[in-house]
Amino acid sequence: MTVNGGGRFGPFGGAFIPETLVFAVQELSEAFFAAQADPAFCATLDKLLREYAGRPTPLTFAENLSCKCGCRLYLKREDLLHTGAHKINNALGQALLAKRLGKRRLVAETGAGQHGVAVATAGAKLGLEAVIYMGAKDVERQRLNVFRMELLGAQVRVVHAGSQTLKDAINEALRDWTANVEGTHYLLGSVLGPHPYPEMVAWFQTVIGREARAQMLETEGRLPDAVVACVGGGSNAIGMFRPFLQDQGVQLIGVEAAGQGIETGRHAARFADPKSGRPGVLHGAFTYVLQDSDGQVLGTHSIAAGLDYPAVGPEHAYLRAQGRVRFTTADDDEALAALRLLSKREGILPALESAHAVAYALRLAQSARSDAVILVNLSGRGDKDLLQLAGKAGASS
Amino acid sequence: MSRYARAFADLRRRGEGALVPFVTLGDPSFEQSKKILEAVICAGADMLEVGLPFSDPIADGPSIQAASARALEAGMTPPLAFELLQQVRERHPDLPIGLLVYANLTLACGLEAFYRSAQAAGVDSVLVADLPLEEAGPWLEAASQYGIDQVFLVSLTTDARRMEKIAAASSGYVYLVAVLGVTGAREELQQRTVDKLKALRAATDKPICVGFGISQPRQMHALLSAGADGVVVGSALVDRIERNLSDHHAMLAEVKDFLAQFKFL
Repeated sequence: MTVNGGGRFGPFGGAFIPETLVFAVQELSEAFFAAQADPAFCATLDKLLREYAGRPTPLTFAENLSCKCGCRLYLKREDLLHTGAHKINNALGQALLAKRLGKRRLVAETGAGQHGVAVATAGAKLGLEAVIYMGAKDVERQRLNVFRMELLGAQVRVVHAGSQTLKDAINEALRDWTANVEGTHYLLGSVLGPHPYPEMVAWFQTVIGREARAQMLETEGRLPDAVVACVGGGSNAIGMFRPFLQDQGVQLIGVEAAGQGIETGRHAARFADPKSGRPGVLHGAFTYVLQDSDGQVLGTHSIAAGLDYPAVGPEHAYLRAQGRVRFTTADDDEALAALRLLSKREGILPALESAHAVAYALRLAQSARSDAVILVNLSGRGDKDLLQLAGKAGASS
Repeated sequence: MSRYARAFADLRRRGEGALVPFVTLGDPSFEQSKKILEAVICAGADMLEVGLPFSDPIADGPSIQAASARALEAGMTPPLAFELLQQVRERHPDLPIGLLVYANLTLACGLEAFYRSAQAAGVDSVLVADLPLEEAGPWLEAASQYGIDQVFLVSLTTDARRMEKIAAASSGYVYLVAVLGVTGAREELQQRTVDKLKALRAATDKPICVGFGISQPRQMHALLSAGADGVVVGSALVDRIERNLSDHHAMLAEVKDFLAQFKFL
């Protein structure tokens, strides 16, 4: 039993939080499950998603790449959403929930900045104050998003502690929430944290897979053979996978960031490194965490700030243990190559995070049957990565 | 009779409250940490609360985060921390010692092995900062197997029914978190803290220690008057360590002077 009942995915999940947060998590649980069952709440969210965020997003047949690799490659275009990534689905959902709870202030963490931008946007639209915590290292590589959040009226607080990335931003957001728990909602951006967050964020993101499944049936007349998504915390992947879980013929594949290579230790692959990736507790959930033998959480590395995190959503740990989702990796170089290829051949610049999924899909296509259908969740666009990419191009020329 | 029971009974007889200093083990180094613990005891600590440094201490504010970072940087590990505690235990056989940890450190060690090591080092209680009662089953089992008290937190946001359950499950003492927020020195004591303390006092006969934000002797005095049995002084003490990193003698002197004010009001 967790503080709010349920909240387990097999042995994973739970609510490992300081006592001060227990009441907030209980209150949030009750509000979320009530909202989920409330047609008026669902209708308001649906209207926002359609008329403000741009849902449904299209399914694009990647014709040129398909010719090259021999099978049929489809992209679910979450990159076309307002603010440029799937993060807005969850941000709007939770911001509406915060209003329902009477909270006037949102706090959030951000890694790549996409979630921070989504929260700042939801805050602006729904009239809520937004405070975004961001690691100093991520501020450096995602300057444009910092500027953008500030334009949207949010306050960005730079975190200098620890590894200065997403993990440390979550620590600070949790501390802020603890101190301001009565009037503040913590708008967590991934399927992480204590129950009900993993369940709630998954529910808000499941719209991705619901649309994609229907679009595949409409376009191809059948379900895909494989569905591929990148996994940092894992919200775009859970949102895509959930509606396919009962379709046993559909392979579900999560792609973690191998950074500079698993053997270098400079990566963010919780499942691919059995030495460091072990079950433990980080940020309120029992799940796979990259840690040393004493249980100190390790620093991570990925070219994609949104994948640069030492733990993975507890539902992913469970689906992997069940054998339903297979996990693999793509490294920095593969992601960069995939980003360039998709840009040149299809005219689509993917986010560095999503490029990991594209990279693996291209690898999978090499060995797949020629009539195989592969669906990739293109979770975000790469505009936010342009400065970082330009820096790389500059350094190598 | 446990060391806690004996110590609280003695204090009550003398009409005193327990001064419970908190420091992070291994801050700023193994040897200096040992000297700090001696200084703290010499200055009048009735019991100790010590923290095992963790990379991601979400319940702690900047002072204790920095202390954890210094200790980890200096090479502190759970086995070394237990060794340090054992040395303190040998010199102070009757002093109650509480250990504050985060859940992941206990899981990485294995719950059974962790509580076994704690017992061997002479630890009296364990408080896991990110372990609410509902998740605590396996921890309570291991604690009872090794005769260690498991301390739970009550916060300002804990309602009356839950407070009773927590007080019933907590052993050694019940820890009341005095502020809405993370650890860190504050000047003032809020009225709602005093109200919560009175409600908790009415709900349990167990000893109550209040911590988070206590930096002034007058705060301690007010809390004892309102029914607390002891007060934990953490960040304000750790700040004195941080302020004197370049002069270890001055550090010990300041730590002693600071704590002495609490004991001799």
